[in-house]
Order: sequence, then structure tokens, then C-alpha cells
Amino acid sequence: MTAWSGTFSPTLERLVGESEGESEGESQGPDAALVRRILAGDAQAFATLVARFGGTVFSVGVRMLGNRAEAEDLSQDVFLKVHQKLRSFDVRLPLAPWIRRIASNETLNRLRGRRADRPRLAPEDVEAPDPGPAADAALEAKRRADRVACALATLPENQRLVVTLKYVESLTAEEIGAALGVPRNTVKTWLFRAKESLRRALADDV
Amino acid sequence: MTCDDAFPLLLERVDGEPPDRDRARLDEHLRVCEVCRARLAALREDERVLADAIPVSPPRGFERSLAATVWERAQGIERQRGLDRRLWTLVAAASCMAVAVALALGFEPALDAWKPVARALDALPAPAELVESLLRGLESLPVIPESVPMGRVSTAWLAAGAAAACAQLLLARRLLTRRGAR
Repeated sequence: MTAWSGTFSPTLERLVGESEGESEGESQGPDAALVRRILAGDAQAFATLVARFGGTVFSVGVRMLGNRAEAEDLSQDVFLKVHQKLRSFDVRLPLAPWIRRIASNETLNRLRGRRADRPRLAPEDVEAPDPGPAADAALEAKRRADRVACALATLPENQRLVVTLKYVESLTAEEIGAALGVPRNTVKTWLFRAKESLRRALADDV
Repeated sequence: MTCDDAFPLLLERVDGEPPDRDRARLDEHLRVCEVCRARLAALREDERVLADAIPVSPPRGFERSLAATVWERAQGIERQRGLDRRLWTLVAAASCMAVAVALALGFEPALDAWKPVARALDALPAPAELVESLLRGLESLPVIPESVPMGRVSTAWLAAGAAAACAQLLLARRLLTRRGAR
């Protein structure tokens, strides 16, 4: 993805001053208006941004860190960083890859900070998807989610992160590569290995 | 196409990775190979299981409370930064003024405010002699004036210089504060 190429970026510091009253030009990305409102101090606009990406960041946090409380802390840190760095955001680009990258870096930093520990994934930390009408199906879904979560916790960090990004956000290898700053083929290799391990773990449990 | 050739293509197809290379050849292989059809079905089922199991739902109202908490924290940090900026501006302005006043008083011949300092320095022979010998040693130098005519340095010029520095500092700080608040 070219989103992270080191080209000259029209940051908001310039654009806020220059484009007052100017129509949405073709150089403006899809999220430029939202970003501008946040920088102007609009709390509601910030709430919109958090509503769009908060669930994803939380989900990645739970799967990577292994517990919900820490995922909530992580979400706070990620969005605080987003708020603080928003001024340097290149408004020609969409927000999602940029926020994904911040979230990935924050997650990996946290994991590095507690390198000695293994991820602590308590069964109660795993929440099954909406159970639907059938209780048996819900129970089975919950059990399966627990199994997946436990298998996920045994993966190396890089594999766990790519597989989480893939299934939480349905991202392609290209997009995951952009978020992590690694080539697409590396992502594909990590994904392949991660899925092999998960399949094996699921097959062993059945 | 062999089953070994087909396997990486099956993985790509399951991942939905464009472009689906050799699509026609893979379709042809799948039409005749039951093993690969079963493999593809198993891969799709695994995919479905993972896609259902990995995402985690946040608690109810999580995004709203997260936005409120982060916004509050961010505003607090901004306020603190604003206070710090103002404090440093004041300190810098006060320092500039102090320097300007000291220079103005010191170079004003009528006040002779630095005379005691000069006298005290004169009382210390060693550094003065050292400087003198050093200066004498530099033969290439032209005639050294007996006394530097510091009194001629205009008090007004010094004060104006200090005030300009001060104003520049204040202006820079104000611009920074404005950009930070925008």
C-alpha cells in the first residue's frame, strides 16, 4: 500500500489555515472533514472517530494482550495518541490504516514491556459472538471461541497480530502489511503459519 | 495440475486474495479431484470458525465512555501544555528584562553601577596580568587601547536590543500557543 510511502504530506497545520471556506478538493481524503472538526475542538467528532474504530482496537487488544481490562487501557492509550498525533496526519489518506498502525505499535510495545509473561487469557475474558436463538449453538460457539482464544495465545506475537487483524477487520495481506510496516509476502507467510497452528489446535481439541 | 500445485491456490482462494491466479486451471482440477474439493470445504469451514471466534465484542457503551475519557485526558494535557508555555514565556520575558535593565544601568556612565564590580576585579591581579601578557604576546595585533570605551555603548541601543529579543520571544511563544490551540 502506498499509504505509508514517505512522500510530502499536506498536514493539517497547513491545510487548516489554507482551506477555510474552500470546497473539498480532490487532494482531501475521505476523513479530512472529520479530522478538521476534531482539531477544531469538536468532542462529538472525536466520539464519531472512536465509535468507528474503538471496537476494533478493543478486539485486537483482547486477543493480543489476553484480558479485557488491559485491552481497555490499551484502547485509551491508542486514542490518546491518535488525538495527539492528529495534527500531523496526512489528510489525503484514509484514517483506518493510520489508526491501525498506531494500535499495532502500541500493542507490540505493551507486549514487549511484559515480555517475561505469557499472555493471560482467562476463559471469562473470551466473549462468544451473539449466541442467536439456539442455546446449544451458543454454547458450542462459546466453546469454540475459547478453544480458538487459547490456541491464539500460544502463537508468536507477529503471527497472533496478523491473524487477529485479518479476522477482526477482514483485512487483506496488503493492508496488514501496511499496518505493520512489513511486506505482503511476509504477512502471507505469518498468516499461513498461524492458521496452520490454529487448525492443528482446533483439530486436536475436537 | 497436481494436488500439491493446487494447495497454495486453495489457500489464496479461501483468503479472498486477489488476483486468483490460474483460476481456470484450479477450477478444472477441483472438478475432477474429490480430495481437493474436500480440502477446500475444510479450509472454508476453518475460516468461518476463526472469523466467528476471533473478534471480541466490547462492553455496552464502551466506545462512548472511551471517547469521553480520552477527550477529557487530552484536554487536560492541552491545558497543562498551555500553562507550561505561558509560564516559560513569563520566565523568558522576565530574564530578558533583567538582562536589559542590568546592561542599561551598567553602561550608563552617570550611574557607574558597575564600578564596584570593576574595582573588585581590579583587585584580583592574576587574571588581569595573565590577559595582559597574552595580549602582549600577540605581536600581530595593532595597538591595544588602554581602556575599552564601554561608556560609549549607548544604553538606549542595549535596551532596544534586549526589548527586541524579548518581543521576538513573546511573539514566537504566542504563535506556538495559537497553533497548539487550533
